[in-house]
Amino acid sequence: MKILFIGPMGAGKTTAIHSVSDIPPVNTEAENTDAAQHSKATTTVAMDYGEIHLDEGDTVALYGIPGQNRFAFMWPILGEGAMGAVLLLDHSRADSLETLTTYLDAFPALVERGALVIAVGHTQQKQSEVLPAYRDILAGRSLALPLFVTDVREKRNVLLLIETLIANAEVNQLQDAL
Amino acid sequence: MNAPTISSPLRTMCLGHLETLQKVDHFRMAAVCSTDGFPIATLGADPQQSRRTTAMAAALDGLSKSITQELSLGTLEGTVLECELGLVLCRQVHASNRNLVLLMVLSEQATYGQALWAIKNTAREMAASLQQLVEQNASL
Ligand SMILES: Nc1nc2c(ncn2[C@@H]2O[C@H](COP(=O)(O)OP(=O)(O)O)[C@@H](O)[C@H]2O)c(=O)[nH]1
Ligand SMILES: [Mg+2]
Repeated sequence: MKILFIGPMGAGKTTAIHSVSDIPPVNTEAENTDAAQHSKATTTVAMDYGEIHLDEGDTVALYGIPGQNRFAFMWPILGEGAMGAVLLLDHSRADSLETLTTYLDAFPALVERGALVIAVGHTQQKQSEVLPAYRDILAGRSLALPLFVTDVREKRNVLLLIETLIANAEVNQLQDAL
Repeated sequence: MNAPTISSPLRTMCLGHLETLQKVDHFRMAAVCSTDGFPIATLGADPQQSRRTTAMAAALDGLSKSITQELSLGTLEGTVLECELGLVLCRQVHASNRNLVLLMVLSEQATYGQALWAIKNTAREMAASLQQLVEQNASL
């Protein structure tokens, strides 16, 4: 099973995969020369890769994309065969709501299948304060995707996102079969 | 083509070295970019196209580096794509505090050996120039 971590630069895709991976993750970090976009020291240029080993012997493969638009050519390459994606957003950025729209547009196949979980990070505020604006955007597109406030530096938070994605995919499959 | 509109010493230095590569037989284009994919200098391609190409070169370079590390093969020197209609050569340019990616594309009649020799030499000379610039101007 393959899961994708998507979202803008600095949202926490690389961090999330580091938090949960049962193997040392594969990184492709390069020096970040685009301080205007984000102040962090390094940035992913090709992919992140990690694995979760489930009790039943199954492996969940985790792929992180490079978030900047100039690396959008990598998105379909990494997305090939993914059962779903976790979209990470950075609530501290002024353009966080627009970014949700951008990513919904960039991954239409996942959206259509309902194979997307949205996680808003970088905030101390409560879910009830943060999420309505995001929910409105989803409602405007008649979407009811799982939506969380989270901090992906914590392993259990990332696991919750992945479990939700998998559970949701199973429900969708059931509904399709009916 | 793609003359340096921003007259930065780094770009000028890179363009000078790219002009050497231009003399390689069956040259199509060459570019220098940051390791996170921003074009610094290009020769033989329009700016829009080269922005896409340098982002891809940086991803290729980053992935090649990870593979090199994964297999404990020391330092990555470069990556070569052998294509039906040409060659793509990607080469690391190292200086202290600053690394660049050098990219050259040749059409199908090109000779592998000549191309490899040329890009190796240019990368080495560019690294020396880059080191000089770094020492003159730490904020490069
Ligand atoms: N304060 C805060 N920092 C976070 C949160 N989530 C992630 N980070 C930090 O934000 C940065 C995200 O960087 P990175 O994982 O490279 O982002 P990527 O570009 O999406 O891969 C890291 O320094 C994380 O430690 C959060 O919820 N709150
Ligand atoms: Mg990353």
